[in-house]
Amino acid sequence: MHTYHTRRASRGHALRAVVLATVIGSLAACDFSVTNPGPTADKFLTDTLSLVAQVNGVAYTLGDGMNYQVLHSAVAARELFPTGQSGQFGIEPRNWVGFLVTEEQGTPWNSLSRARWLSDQSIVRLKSVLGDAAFAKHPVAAQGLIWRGFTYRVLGEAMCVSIVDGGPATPSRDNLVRAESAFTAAITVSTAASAAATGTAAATMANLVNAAYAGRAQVRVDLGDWTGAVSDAARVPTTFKYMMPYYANVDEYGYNRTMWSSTSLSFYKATSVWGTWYAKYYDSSRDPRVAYTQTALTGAGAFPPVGRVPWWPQAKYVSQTAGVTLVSGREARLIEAEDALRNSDIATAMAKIDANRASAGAPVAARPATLADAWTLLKQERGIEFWLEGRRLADMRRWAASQTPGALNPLEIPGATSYLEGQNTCFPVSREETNTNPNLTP
Amino acid sequence: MPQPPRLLVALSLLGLAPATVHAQQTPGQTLVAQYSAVATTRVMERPARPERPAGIVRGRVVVEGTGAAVGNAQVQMGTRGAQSNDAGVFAFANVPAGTYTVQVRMIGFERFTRAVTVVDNQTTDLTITLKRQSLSLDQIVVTGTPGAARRREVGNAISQIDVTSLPEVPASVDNLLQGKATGLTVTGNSGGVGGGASIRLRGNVSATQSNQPLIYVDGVRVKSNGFPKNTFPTGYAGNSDNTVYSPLNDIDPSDIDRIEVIKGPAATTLYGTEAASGVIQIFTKRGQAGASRWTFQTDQSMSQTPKFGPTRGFEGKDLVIPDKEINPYGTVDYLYLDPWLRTGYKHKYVLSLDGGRDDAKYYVSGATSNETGVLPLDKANQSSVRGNLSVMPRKDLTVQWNTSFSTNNLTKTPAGGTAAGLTLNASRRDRNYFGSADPAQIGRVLDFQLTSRIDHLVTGGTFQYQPKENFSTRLILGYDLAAQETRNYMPYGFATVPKGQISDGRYSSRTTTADYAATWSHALFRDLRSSLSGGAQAVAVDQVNVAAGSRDFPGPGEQTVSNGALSLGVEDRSRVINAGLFVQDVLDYKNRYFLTLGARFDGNSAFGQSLGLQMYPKVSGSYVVSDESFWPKNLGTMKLRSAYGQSGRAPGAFDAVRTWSSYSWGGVAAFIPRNLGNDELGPERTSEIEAGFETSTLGGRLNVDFTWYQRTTKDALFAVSQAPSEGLWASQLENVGKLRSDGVELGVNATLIQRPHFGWDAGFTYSTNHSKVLSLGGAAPFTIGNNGWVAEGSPVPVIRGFCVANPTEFAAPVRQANCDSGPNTPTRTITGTSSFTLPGDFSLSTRGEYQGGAFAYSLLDGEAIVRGIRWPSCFNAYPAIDSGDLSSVPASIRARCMSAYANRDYAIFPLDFFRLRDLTLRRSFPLKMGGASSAQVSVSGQNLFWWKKAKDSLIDPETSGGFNNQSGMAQQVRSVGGSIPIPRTFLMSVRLTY
Repeated sequence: MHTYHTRRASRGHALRAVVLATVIGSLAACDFSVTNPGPTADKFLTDTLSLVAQVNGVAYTLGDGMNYQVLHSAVAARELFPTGQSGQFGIEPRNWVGFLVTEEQGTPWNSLSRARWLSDQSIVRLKSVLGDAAFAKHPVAAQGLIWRGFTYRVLGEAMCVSIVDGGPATPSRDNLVRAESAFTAAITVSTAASAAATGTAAATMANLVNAAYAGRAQVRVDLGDWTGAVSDAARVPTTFKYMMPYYANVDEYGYNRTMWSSTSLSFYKATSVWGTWYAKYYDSSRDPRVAYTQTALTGAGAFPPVGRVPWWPQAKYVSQTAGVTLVSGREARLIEAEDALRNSDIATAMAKIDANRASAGAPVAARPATLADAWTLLKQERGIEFWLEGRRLADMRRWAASQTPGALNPLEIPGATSYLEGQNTCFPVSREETNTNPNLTP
Repeated sequence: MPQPPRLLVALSLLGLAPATVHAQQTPGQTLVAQYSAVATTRVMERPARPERPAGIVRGRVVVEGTGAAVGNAQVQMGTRGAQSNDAGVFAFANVPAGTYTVQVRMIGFERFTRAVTVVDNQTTDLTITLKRQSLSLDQIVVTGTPGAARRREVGNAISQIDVTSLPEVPASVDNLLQGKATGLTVTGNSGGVGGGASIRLRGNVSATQSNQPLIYVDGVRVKSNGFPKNTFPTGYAGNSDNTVYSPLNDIDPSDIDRIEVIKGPAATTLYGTEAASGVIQIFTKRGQAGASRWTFQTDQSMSQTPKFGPTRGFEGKDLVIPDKEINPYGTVDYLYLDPWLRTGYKHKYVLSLDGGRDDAKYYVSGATSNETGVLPLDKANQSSVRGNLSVMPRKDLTVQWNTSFSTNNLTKTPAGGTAAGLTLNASRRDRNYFGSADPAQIGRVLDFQLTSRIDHLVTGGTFQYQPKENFSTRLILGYDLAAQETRNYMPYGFATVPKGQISDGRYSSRTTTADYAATWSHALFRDLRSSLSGGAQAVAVDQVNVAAGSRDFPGPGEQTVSNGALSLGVEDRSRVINAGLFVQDVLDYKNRYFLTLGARFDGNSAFGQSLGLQMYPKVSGSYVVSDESFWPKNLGTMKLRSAYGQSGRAPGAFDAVRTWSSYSWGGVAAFIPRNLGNDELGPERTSEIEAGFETSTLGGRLNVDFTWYQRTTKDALFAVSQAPSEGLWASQLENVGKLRSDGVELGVNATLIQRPHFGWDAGFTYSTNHSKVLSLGGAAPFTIGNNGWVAEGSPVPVIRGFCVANPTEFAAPVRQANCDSGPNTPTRTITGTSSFTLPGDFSLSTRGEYQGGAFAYSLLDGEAIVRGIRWPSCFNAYPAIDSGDLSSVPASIRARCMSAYANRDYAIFPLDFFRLRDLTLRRSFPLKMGGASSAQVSVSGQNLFWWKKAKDSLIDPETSGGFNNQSGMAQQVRSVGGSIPIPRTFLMSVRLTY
């Protein structure tokens, strides 16, 4: 009996030891690999079917960056007047009085830099996945190159310097050179793709061909290559327009931010056309290109020199999905007009402006008496044509650099009437870039 | 003979009624009247056998000196068990004649043992006097050890909170923890209903990961971090009430027996990778052997918002309100919220039943409460049930199974930092989003409906098998399911979204726990014993967050997501598995020298692929010096202890992998960079060393607990920013940093006066915590939001921003970048408690808490001063500013009161505050009414008085709010604003025991 108990106890201990060892062993052999769904792993981006989404990502990010760049530059250029509302869908205090400073303006640099990086990466990946031969005539490649060109164009016009992939800061002109190169490639690829396409696809490709020429004309103006600019502009019909689309996402961040910061549909009332030259011009001309609405309301917050600012919302963008023009045939005509003025040909310039105004449904402009007046008119005309498209500061910088004749309106340059204490005409490098880029000094 | 109450008759038919004992008159006549209610209290567990003569033993447990009743004391007589009621009374009926040993145990008192002789047909009356002893070296603790351990063996600091003997009526678990242990900081976050507190043990241990400690309930890991905020699934996350619901809200404080707190890696090594921020283990009531005992409790309370507006201007002088700034609708005292603040009420009812036999005990309870908060829409309806069962199917096997379920329906007021919020619009008066201070206009935000429902199930069992006296095994299986549905609804015609908007979010968190441990104790040599333990633990956490939202309704009416013209859906899923093995040996020499050696080996699914198992070692020692022969007995007990251990914090589920996000762009997908990825990503590794002592002297009247600690986190997970020009990937976690924090913790409890019917006990805790970033590993200083920065040589995090370089000059302010204000977490916490035993079974207790040394950005102030809002803290300065004569306005005031110079960072304030947390008057007494045996009536006031250092602004330094998803308890860096202050509460509680 004693022996039996001992054996049974021994077996019990042994069994427990086995159970214990099994438990520990099975836990030790635990497989910790877990596949969580949701974010897409990088390896899947090499699939051909993923290429379109990558190109779309460039446009999405460019639109996001433009949302900030267009709105903030509009206030610094007094295309819009600040009401005192800051923070979400607002304008920051230094921006109110004309400054674009690092502490307030990180987002334009960050978003547009991301768009630039994505545009380069998408082209590299497209070439890698498609192969050079297919790339040279692929519609997705053509679209990718177009977005790349406009990304570099926006950066070149908006930013004070150019930085690529964590490298050193170089003049912003480098962005424009890359933009020109991208548009040149886009012309080649989209033309080839257009030739290979039929029906709607062919029309889409033809549209890209126009966008590429029009975009290259833009950057050639910025680069001072007027011969090239005029040559490209001549290929673009006046009715042509290429837009950065905004879509009716449920998320208000995806809207056209200029519209959403100040519209009866939103609540922010951050900007007003009150106090701008454009309000005065619209009152006298009813030019639809600078439409706005007068209300009895005041903006949210207060702009201390004025107090509560009358809220006159812009009416150029009247829906959340209103696109922002990236380039158009009317800009091509203005390029031709400016080139004419450079050659002191007022008549040709006015003919181009008249054609534009007719196309836009705007009244005929008064005839300038002098070349300087003509330049003033052209400068106003570009302001009207590109109102709230994020182009004005670049024009100011360009004209200042080339010392062109003609004056800007006192309401859009620093002074008592504009309440601008100064005016930065380009956006700075963000703090995030200076803190992380070893080639920069924090 | 009086008839038994109907309730008892009915219950007895169900077999649940307490057995009725009719005590015979005994020599102890003077006690009979007092004990007459005993008839319905704890009685023996076996049915009466009237044919066999037997006696009755009854008694009252009181405190030595004052004679105050001790409720919930565990009384053991032979195989019989009972628990004293609130009047300190217990009884055993039908006790066969003989001699028995009566043992009485209660945390905080010395164990009482006495022989009692029972005579047939007679009643034996006992008065059991317990002697105070805050430090009991033989007290059993289980948290941080493989099985149970005596306190004398434990080399690390461990705090025990005996909930049943607290003099207060805790409103929540957060409230229960507040100020109860050294090194434990509980910050309320919100005065609205449903918010959860931030809990920190010895400050922050991580710069980027959650610093909320792990929470265990009866050995089962439960969700410890907050639920997702009720906000629209995409876009601006501030469109909310800005509170975050805490899972701790789902535990009813009246179900809790005790809480154990271990504060850092020196103690939490065996919990592995997730436990660097400490572990809090909650033990719920299990029931005591004896007849069924019913307890009914009701708490009725009302809450009011204290004045919280600035009382001084930014220049430091008392505020003078110019006539032109007077608002007919509200006052500066309440930042113009007066029209909307109301008295809140809460009604709570709890019913519990416990009892059983030695081999089968139970505790079941149910609670329901409804609450209206101080804000106009705030409402909470909560119900919970719990069933705890302990059985011993065999002598060597104990099974405990505990299950609780709670459901909470919340309605909240939009009071956060949002254009659609009450706080923001009211405080800005006519410069708000409505352009009007008229309450009729501002009140339109109350159409914004924020509702949520939280269901929480926790179930788990502990199987304890002890085949031999020196060998035991324990298996814990647990499951925690926390689910939340949130609805965020702006109806058609709403002020900020005219066509309306709605979202519905479903979130669930499932935590599955398996925990096995075995311990083998044996003698190695004479006087040297070893307790060798080993085991394994696995915890899997599955989180699912699915939400749908839409906007642009066709017209008025009650809407669902289906009705919006534009809609979207989001889905996030993650699963994280953490599992490991451990081994530990406790060497015990002469029962006074203890050395513990151990290690944990851990794996985690969030680690990078190239990372294998991680090892966390531990070593600790304790020395009960008072057991030495040379120790003068009149010095009491003294234990010296020291511990070293490591633990960790794992990165997030996706942090190691390079991934892209997909966004909708005009109906097609667009890829955006998300996470850069890091194959070598591993856990933060925190080492902690601590040393201290615990002593009880002057006959147990003075107890001191002191700890010094220092902890170092290597491979700290830092969010290393990526250059935007390289793709603007989200900041990538890298194991690059090194952090250090240290501090001291002192707890003193003293019995100052101990006389019959009058006693005075006082307590004091002092805790410090100073943190510093030793190395960034080459990374640049980076922000983790809300002005919190991680920078070398600075606290973790440091509050950094612009400041005025020439504050006292009468000139335009000169802006200076990178000014450090100080840490974001308190560097010193002081609590004081005082408890009086008064004649007539009354007691009066009070508790206050001071937190100091921290700084934070104030959202409400900062966002106002950059918008040109006429802000009360500037009222003293406005006359000069408005006149244009700035000659008397220094730069510091111009910077804060003139938006031309304004910057949000100028709204950084010190967070120092003091609060009178609790003042309670209580009476516990026998009661012969409606079948009750005892009653306890408490009247208390909570947060009756407060003081804040920043009198020039800041709503309440203890609240937090945020524009992003990190609000309330989810905030990595605390910012203040949006949320209204913690209200003062007046509460009356009645507890009846049957």
